[in-house]
Amino acid sequence: MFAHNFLYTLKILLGRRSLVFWTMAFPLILATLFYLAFSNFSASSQFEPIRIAVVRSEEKTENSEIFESAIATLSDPDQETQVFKTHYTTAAKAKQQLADNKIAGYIISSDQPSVHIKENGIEQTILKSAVDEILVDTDIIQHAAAKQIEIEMRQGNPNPDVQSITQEAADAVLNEDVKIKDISGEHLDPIMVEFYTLLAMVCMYSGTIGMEAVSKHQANVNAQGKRTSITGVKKSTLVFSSALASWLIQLAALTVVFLFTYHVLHIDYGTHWMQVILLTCVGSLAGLCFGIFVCTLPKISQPNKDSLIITLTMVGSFLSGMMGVDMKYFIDKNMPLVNKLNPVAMITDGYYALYTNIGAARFYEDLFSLLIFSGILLVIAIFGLRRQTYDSL
Amino acid sequence: MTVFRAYLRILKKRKWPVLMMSAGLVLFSLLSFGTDSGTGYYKASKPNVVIYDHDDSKISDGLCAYLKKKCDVKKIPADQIDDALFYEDAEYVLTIPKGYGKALTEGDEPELKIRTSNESSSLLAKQYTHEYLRTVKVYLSAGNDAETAVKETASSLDRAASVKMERKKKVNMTELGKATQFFNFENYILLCANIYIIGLILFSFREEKLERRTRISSMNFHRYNRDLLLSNLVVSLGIWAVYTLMAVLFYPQTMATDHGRLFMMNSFLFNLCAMSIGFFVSAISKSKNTVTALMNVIALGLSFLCGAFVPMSMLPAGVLKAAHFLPSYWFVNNNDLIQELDVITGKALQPIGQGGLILILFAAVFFGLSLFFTAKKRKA
Repeated sequence: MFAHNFLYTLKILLGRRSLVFWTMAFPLILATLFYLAFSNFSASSQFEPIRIAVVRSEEKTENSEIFESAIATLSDPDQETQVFKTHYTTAAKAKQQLADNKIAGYIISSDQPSVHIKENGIEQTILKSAVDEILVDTDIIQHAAAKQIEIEMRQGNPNPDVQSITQEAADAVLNEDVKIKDISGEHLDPIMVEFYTLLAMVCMYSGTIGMEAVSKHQANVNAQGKRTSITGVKKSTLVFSSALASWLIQLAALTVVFLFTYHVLHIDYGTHWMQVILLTCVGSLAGLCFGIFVCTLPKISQPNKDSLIITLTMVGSFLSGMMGVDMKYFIDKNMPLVNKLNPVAMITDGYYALYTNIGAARFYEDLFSLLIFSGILLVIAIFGLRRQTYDSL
Repeated sequence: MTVFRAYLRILKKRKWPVLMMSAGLVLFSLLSFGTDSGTGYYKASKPNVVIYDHDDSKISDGLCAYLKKKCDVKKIPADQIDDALFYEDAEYVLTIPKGYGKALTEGDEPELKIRTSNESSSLLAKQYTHEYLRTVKVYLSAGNDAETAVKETASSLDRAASVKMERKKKVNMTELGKATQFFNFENYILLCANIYIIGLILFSFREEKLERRTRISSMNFHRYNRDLLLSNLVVSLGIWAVYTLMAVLFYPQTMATDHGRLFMMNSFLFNLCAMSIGFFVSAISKSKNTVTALMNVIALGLSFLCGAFVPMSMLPAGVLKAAHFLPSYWFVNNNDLIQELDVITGKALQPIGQGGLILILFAAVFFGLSLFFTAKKRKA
């Protein structure tokens, strides 16, 4: 009987187009959308030279010439240290270009240069910092040169070579280096978390299949439920065979989504493949148990139960970072209990732990949390399903 | 009134899914704006920095004080730093080893270890560190002791260029940025709410038996359609009003300005467009499950591809070009233009007006398509 019910459950579920959509087509569509939206993310967050304009000083002074020369160095496209894409223009034109968002800001060169911007942002901060650094360096060089000239005059040299002393001071200041070593290693891509939440969402959508499969054995839901309730077959046999069929269909759907995201979209799941597969199976089991639990909730109609599973899964996905990866971090930091109880977050965090190699302890903590979550819901569902009696049907 | 009462009765019958979805959307809105993701100011001007100072010397204290002035220095425990770097809560982690200040004073070349995220802000923080320590070394080389070198460095680094904000109107830029983010997110919310609520209710009205009974009744068919349209308009406006009220409560300063009024007008026009998409979805759907499925695909698809969740500046060029054919692109683009507005002039408003007209055009197209498919279904 177990095999018979298992087989026919498979046939029934595979014939339901809406289930096939939610478990397979929808995740593939969403994965493609993510890929299209995020494919430029890493490249666009890396540093690009900032577009600025410079208004040359009308009165040429030593300071203004030093300043303009420094800006030209920072704008040299042949240098690795290029910070700006600079063009020279009048004040009026620069103002208009700023208003039209053609430049991030413009500088009016003089003895006391001024920076003109329209809004606050990282480009404007870098522009201001670079200008400040030029002024600071100029100041230090002039002080160092003045001090050296004073020393030479005290040593009996009435006409020290100012230009040479200034050049030496400039070389000393600009060639002074500081040893800073970046030990970051490979920069991982936070956008991967979006795809992990997608997989976690697909795992939880196995609840809709599980609910569909188990509800046909409930006498108060449909006629088939009435018939199966009065048969001689144990309810546990029917429920578990239906649940197993649902789980297998969901695992098949997850395999398709996995292969698509890995081979076509080139999503990185790390190197621990056995753990990834284990987490996916357990995640899908958690979704299935969630669906069975919702199925046993009294006084809620079938369409409303469907809506409940989909809504709770979407809320859980949102809290796990589907609509902005920062959300998961924000919740983990400020309301950690929320994501400790959120199965979508547990699955997402498990994939994250495997991707970042953050440590096996975190991964196994997520895995056992999912198993406990599944166990609790399954026990409650079993109590809800067994030995039900009805006054009338 | 008969149609309107029936409309409300169906809405009441579906109140639990509608309330659940609305609660979910309100939760999305509330939680999204405590985080740092979104449009407007995609990156803060002050890098997020974490410092582990094991040296506690005059030089390390001076460096920490300088970085506190220039950056947002956060206290994150060492066991949480990997997560902080991954999610860019920390963009630059500096570890000052014990004896660093002494080694520098003695003329050695000690090494500082840093960890960075893959962002331009971390380059800026590194530049600040380099600038400070290089200046200290210059003063140490001139024969000064550590205390004097730190003092002279602080004085030199105070030298700064003047900055002029070329904005004629003074606005709360932070609140304006968050309000822009809110209205961009509203793209997803308005689409979900309109398609789900209007789509499901209209689908109920279009049930074969109910529609046949209505057609053979004495009710004037044009009046019936007009009442149905007005009922939808009332519900749609109700949805829009709830979210506009939320914006007024969360961003009062911005909403009281011209920016706020323009945001409201833009979201009103988009709401009409979302309503028309709801009509269209109900016209082409064969079951209620189809309505739900299409709602998710359309709302998420338009939001991801048109800059509602990911800033437009970060979308690939090809995707942006294709997005011009989607209504959400014009809504989000208008929001970004409104944010950048300084003085309200005809020339400045022209691109926003064009975007608004395109939204009305999209609404008309979707209405037309829904009428076409409804008539086709009826004939079949």
